[in-house]
Amino acid sequence: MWQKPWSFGEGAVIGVGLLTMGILMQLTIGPIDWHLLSSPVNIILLSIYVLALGVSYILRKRLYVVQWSMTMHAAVPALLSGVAVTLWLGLTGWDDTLQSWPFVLIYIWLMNIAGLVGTDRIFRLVKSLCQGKPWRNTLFLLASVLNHIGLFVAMVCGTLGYADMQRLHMTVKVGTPEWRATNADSNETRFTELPLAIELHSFTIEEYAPQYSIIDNETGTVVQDSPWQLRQDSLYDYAAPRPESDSYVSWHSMGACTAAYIIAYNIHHVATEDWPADGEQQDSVRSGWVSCGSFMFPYKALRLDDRYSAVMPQREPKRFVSEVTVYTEAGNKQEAVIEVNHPFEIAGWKIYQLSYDEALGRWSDTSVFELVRDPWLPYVYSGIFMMLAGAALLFLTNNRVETKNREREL
Amino acid sequence: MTWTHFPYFALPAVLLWALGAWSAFRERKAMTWCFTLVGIFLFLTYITGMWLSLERPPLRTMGETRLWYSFFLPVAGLIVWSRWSYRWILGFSTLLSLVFICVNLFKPEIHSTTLMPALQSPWFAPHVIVYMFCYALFGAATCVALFCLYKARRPDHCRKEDELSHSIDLIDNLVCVGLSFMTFGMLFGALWAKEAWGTYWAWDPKETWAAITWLCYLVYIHWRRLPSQAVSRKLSLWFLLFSFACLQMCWWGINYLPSAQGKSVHTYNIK
Repeated sequence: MWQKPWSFGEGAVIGVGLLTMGILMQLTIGPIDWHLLSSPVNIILLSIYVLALGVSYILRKRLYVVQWSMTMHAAVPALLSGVAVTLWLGLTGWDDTLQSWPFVLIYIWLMNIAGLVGTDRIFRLVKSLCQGKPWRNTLFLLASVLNHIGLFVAMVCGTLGYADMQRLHMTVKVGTPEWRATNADSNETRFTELPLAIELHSFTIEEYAPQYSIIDNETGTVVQDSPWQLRQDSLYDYAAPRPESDSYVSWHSMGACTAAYIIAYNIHHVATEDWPADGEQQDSVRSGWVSCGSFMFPYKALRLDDRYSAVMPQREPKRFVSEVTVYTEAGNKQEAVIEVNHPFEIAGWKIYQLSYDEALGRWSDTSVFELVRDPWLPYVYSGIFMMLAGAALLFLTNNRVETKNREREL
Repeated sequence: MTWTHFPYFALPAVLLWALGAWSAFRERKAMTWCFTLVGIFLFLTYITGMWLSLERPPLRTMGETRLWYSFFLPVAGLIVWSRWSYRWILGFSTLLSLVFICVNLFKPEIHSTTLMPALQSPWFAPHVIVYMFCYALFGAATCVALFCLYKARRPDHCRKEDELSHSIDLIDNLVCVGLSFMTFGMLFGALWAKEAWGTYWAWDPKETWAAITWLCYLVYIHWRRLPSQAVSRKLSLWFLLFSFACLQMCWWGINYLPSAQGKSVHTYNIK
């Protein structure tokens, strides 16, 4: 051990060492407080880190550990300890991944290797270009540069940028402009005042067409294999129950629920030839109103027989749409429609549709937004796009047999 | 164009792909290109027709996304075949494509299945399709690895040894292509998550297991690039099986994992 050339053993010891150190640090120092790293500390740290990696790359001939860490003998145990620590996370389900020392230490080690190897490949790529080596060779090196540097940039910027990222939740009621928000990651209700305000004009939920199911009268669970088949006869999207009767009327005011008149056939009885025979009809066909209810009206089921009832479950939401006007401190004013998957971007903030008043359902006059400011995002994205290009090149240039030969050449 | 026209396009397309796969197996290049491309074109005509008549890209329902799987599998198969000339790859992609087509044919009620707002994104199809293709490749690699491990129990003949290293080269290629697709799937997922939830990576259980799987396959390709005498090939094959087990955990296993209960955003609750 520790005699040149180093191999897997040394790598494994480093991995276990970092894990142990991480656990000890977790026990003594406690979880990592990323807010200590917020700008400008993270920028200074990044400069020092990149500089240190650069210097150690230049001194690689004198520092054996640097030379070794650019070999597969270092990469494999490092990646394995990455697997181990992430597996531990996956199996135990930690809540605060980024706050745990063992995890962060192992990932820093992985980043060192990716950064050094990436740098090394850049120089080799330049050399390969200057010497006019075959283009396949050059593409292979380019793939390696993009994969290693891309991962390095995405992970380092993503991690350091985490300290500067702001995630806030803002609850806005129709007609009342709001500029205060709470921290999305903590449960305390301390308000932050933002340089922008949101005025909600309307919040709407579009729903999918109602579905019907058959439930067991006793347990209330959905039954798939009952003898009853349901058919929708008429549907009111907006309805209210008629007082002292089992029927519904079309009604468009706040609190209206969806109601449908359905007909249920018992397939066991329907199958007989002389249907609808008068005596049997009683058992074979049922009809009546069902409703999923709303915050104002209770749901309504249709009793089919001693065992089964037909119900209309809550309708599935299709779209959540908030129509808003956003005002910025600079006096800017913009109309926007915010939906899930369609955030709105203004003054460095992205506004996402997050939730609504679930008790009121489609009559909610409240919309909850998530506001995110992530100044490091462009750098993380540049890393991600490098990795995408790298993955495409890996796919195009890889051939195991050729690779073997190429590595012998290098 | 509606779903009722689907069989008239899908079945001839599958037939053409099967003919292409057969030609590839018999090493007839021109015929392989012809049959497969005509099949792809036919299928694309149907998708375009659906797109026009729906007046939106057919990406919303599960049935519609399966349409894209069925389309992309032979496309990806053709690309891989043109690159490495594996005789069986087109047969494999046709078979997988057929599975998705059959689901669409025999489970038509799924066509209207609702899609949560969070899933209604242009990222949805590429994210899932790319992952499905990579799962298929890793599945194939795992099958070959099992075969090799079975064969390697008695490494007595030199010819067998040759055959074995040929199979292992094949595994390496499959894993490498699979890994590049997996990287695509994972990063598409990250870009989508940013659009949908505001964070590209939140260490949600599904994401954690995706990271584990990705790292495992990274271990494998780095491992295999060591000088041959330094590694035990057998161990690397066992590791490949372990990686595939992790992949299963990521794909569906976390639904049953106690530590992941109620935490995953991949269950698509809006909360």
